[in-house]
Amino acid sequence: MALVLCVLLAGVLTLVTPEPDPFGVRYYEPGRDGWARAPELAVKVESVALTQQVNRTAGKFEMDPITTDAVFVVVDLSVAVRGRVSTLDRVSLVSADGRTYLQRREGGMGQLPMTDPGFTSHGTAVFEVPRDRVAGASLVVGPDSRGFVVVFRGAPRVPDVTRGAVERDSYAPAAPSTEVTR
Amino acid sequence: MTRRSYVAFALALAFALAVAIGVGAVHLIRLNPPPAGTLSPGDSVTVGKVDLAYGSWTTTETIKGPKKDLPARDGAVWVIVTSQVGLHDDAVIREAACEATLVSRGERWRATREPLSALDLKNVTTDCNRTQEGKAATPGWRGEVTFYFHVPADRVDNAIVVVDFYATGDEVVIDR
Repeated sequence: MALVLCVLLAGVLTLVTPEPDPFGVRYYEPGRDGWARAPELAVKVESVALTQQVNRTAGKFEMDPITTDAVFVVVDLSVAVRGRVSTLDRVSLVSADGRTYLQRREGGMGQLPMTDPGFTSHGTAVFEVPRDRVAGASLVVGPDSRGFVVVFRGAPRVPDVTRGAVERDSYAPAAPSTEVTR
Repeated sequence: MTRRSYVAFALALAFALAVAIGVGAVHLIRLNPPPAGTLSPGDSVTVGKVDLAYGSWTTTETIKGPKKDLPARDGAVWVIVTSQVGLHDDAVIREAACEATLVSRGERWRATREPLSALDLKNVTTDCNRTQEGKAATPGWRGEVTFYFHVPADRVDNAIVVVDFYATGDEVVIDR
């Protein structure tokens, strides 16, 4: 009887404690200074643009641009890393209806580099999205993972990141950079 | 419910709590095993069939290569820790496998190799599997190993280096 009650108590506690995410990831949204601070990463969106052409460069050389019939959401962002090295390769745009778009992987678009703790990297994430899913989309950085294993369970999230985005004919991301976190 | 039921319930709850605390404690112990040794400069320790000797700890703003130099970023420094690794005659190669991590204020930096390769340094190694001459670890082998860390300058004070040995799960703390 007592054990049954214990199991029931555990069941009730499980039901009344909502999980923030199916995978147990906790999200951290920006404060007044614009930084969304998770325990291992802090993210600030510097600018957002919409375009149908992203120009790419490799050093001094120009590469073929990428184009789309949909729209590219181009996010310039800064990421301050704490705790341990982060690959910063899991940047996604989540539409208002819950669809997840990972950043385009082609080179020469200023993707964030692997970054050690104590350093801040500046880079660009490019997402190809149907135009009707741009409004209200959120930017999520992480959670970081090693294969199937989720390493960090906290991820910065910037809601409604596309609000005020500027429409441009084309966009040329700057080369990524890293500096000591000030 | 009768009084007996309440007592049974309390006992069951206490038992469940004790199990949870016990499991948690075991988990924590497993996550934080005591180090196999803490080394000051000149010290050495034997971990399984591997000898690890701590040579020196230096900090520099630029690593000098034969053709070009590799400066640390503005506000950062290079921490260079030299050590000597020896594998016993009756050991197997995998026992030399280890990885070094600099730990400061709860943050962790892996020993780095990639940027160093651009310097064309012949004697770069950042793990215990090879000597600085590039020879693979073999039984009876002894060689110099240097760990390079690129860290913000304000993290150097009170930093330690933790060397994890994969074969045994042991770790050794190198304390400046």
